[in-house]
Amino acid sequence: MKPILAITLLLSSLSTLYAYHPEGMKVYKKECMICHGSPFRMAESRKQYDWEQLMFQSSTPILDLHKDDTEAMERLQSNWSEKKRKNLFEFLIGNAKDAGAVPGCDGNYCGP
Amino acid sequence: MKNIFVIIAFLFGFLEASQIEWHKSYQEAQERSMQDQKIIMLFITADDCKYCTKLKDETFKDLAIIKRITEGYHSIEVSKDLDNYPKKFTAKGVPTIYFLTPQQEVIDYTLGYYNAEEFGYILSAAERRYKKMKGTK
Repeated sequence: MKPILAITLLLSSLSTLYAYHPEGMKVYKKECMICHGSPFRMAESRKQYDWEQLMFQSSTPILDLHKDDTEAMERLQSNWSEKKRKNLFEFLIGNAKDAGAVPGCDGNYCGP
Repeated sequence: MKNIFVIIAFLFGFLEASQIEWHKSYQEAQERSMQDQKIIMLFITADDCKYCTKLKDETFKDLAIIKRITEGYHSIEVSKDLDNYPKKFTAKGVPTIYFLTPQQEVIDYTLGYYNAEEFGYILSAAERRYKKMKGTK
């Protein structure tokens, strides 16, 4: 139990570092945007803790979430990788409802 | 003479379809939205905003995007610091775009530049959410 708590606390404290996560943003744009739309809105739909829970609940959290959606599963199963998963969750955690991140416009976020 | 009229009418028609029709004020957009229940697209920009210009010059010039926005939205462009619009719609950065119901509830918002394809996805998600919001009332 303790290691999980420690990991959670560590991730929370590092979350501001995740806020500007251009790689995660790219993954979102490529994999998620077609169904979920705006990246920041999506990230803000859950709290950090909830994203973290999802991230660690299994080795395939994205697939688990979409298991009832045939169309999404087809897309995700052919395209997914551990690196993408990690980048995506770092972006989502960093911009979660309670992350306190203030996304500004820099070259990473506002640019292509 | 008849041909000239036809050509002029065609050119006006082409011009109308080749750009987004922006309302002159937030109030005007909101009033029109109350009448026809279309989504309000509030585009918050600022001077010297590189990606606002890019969005306007590229994404908002895409014919498919123009068609969708013309048909389903009331658009208003405001300057973050200069124009009169409800300041509850904050812009942490520019460009910020809010999608609002006629009653000024936030359907969706986004920040930054997106190409036409990505922006199309954002519009689709906003439209889905709006339908859902209307359905639950």
